[in-house]
Amino acid sequence: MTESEFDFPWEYNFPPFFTIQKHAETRKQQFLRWKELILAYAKHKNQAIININDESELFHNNKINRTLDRESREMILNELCNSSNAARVNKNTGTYEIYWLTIEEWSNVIYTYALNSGMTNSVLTFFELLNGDDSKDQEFHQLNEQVFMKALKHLETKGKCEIMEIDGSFGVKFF
Amino acid sequence: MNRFESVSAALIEGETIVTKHDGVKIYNGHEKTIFEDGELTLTTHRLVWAKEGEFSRGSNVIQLRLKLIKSLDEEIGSSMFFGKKKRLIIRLNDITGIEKLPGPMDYTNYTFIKLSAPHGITANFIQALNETLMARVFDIDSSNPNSPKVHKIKQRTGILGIEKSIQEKQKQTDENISVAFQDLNKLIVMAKDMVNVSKAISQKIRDRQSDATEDETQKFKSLLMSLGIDDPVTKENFTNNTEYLRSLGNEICQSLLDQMTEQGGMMTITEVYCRINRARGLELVSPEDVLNACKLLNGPMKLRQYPSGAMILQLENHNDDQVAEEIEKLVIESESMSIEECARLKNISVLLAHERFLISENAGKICRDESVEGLRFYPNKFLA
Repeated sequence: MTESEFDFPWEYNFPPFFTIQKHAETRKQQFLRWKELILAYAKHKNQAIININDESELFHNNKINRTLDRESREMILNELCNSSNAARVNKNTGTYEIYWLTIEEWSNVIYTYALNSGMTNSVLTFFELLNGDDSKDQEFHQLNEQVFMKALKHLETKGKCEIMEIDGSFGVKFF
Repeated sequence: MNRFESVSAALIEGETIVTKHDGVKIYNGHEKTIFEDGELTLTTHRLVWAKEGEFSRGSNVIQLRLKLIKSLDEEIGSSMFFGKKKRLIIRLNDITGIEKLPGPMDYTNYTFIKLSAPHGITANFIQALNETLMARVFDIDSSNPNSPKVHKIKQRTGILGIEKSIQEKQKQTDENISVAFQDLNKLIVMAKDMVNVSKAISQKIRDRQSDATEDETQKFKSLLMSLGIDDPVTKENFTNNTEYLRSLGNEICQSLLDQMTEQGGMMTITEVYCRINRARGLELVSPEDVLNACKLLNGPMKLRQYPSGAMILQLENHNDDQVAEEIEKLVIESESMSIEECARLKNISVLLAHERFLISENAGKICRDESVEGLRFYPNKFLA
């Protein structure tokens, strides 16, 4: 992944974007834009964990001097949780895992890759799947390990793979 | 009673008789005296009591100098034969240090006398006495350089002197205040007359319109208008409260219609209250009456309560969609706008401007931006 500047959408420079709107229809649209922005930002930065207490540029636009307050951030992330695009890790620290692809979608992507590259019935380590040269073009390349684990666990419940622990590191066998 | 002096009845220079009262009995404080059934004559300087006809004959009489009178009071006494009657209580000033001729009584504990008559002291007499006291003709005389200045001779020093001067100042203030309020009472009486006069004139104008030229009539009418509502609706004219409120409502509609249209079709209830009372002038109405009258309104205006709790009187043909679009246009023109800016631009109150923004916001036309810089509104680009 190349570290290029994230291209913020127009809303980011529109002051009312940082105030939760009172009109229901407007608020719905506003939340939708926020969700899109957060997912796109997380994907661009390949950043699976977001802490809403951080003074990240995501929630704070220096240029127009507007900040989305903590309460509003929580509201929007709850919305993301509802659409399976995020999960709360720790309520006290305000950290969330962000899924720009849902766990379901991730598991499909990974399983399809495994099938297509003929890796079924052999044991692969998490490390080579995530960081190996073979998966360089894949979406899940260098994905957060916890998110990756959740996707594989999801596959395991479907009986499509088996996760095993070898000397403190994880491996997986696809069926 | 010790303030009375025995003198001859002759008038002094500059003194004139104001009025008379028959059958007057004098009380020393609460006690009866021998001075019964006499004729009391009020002059510009004195109150003179005499047996009937003796004053005009120039005999010896007793007098009370008006400048010794401190204040007047009334007392309603009941009599066995005549029902209720009015007694006049005259409170008197301290006479220590004032030169005085000998009178019928030298010493008494009472600082007031009472006057009574078989049918009570008439209101006319009391009013005349009041006005005479107010006019203070007797003072003019004492400031006359020819007559001896009684109170100036008595210059006092020491603490007693200081106390005396403080007392005099207080007395002066008291008098000033009562004079001032007297004026106010007169103003109210006069104002009622003024309203009557203006009513009569406008009636005359209506009766013979042809006599005056168009211009004159117009000008006169506008002058009358500036006096306010010429015939205000008052509670006394109605026995039924609802009927009263309905009429008051009509009055509100009639007098505020033009102003409301000018302001864009709406007005806060507080403003309605202020304006209607300004127009009425003296016959003020309570906020409650105004509110209830507005609630009953069914005519060209109606009362509306906004979600914020603000109560607003607005024209019935007033349209929220129109307001929403108008505000949207305004906001788009200036890119973003605060409530205060809008109030200034449209020449309406901040409260009204706020309500209009909320209407527009609820219609999804504009959206808000709350920050440390305050509340501003932007065109709603989310729904664009």
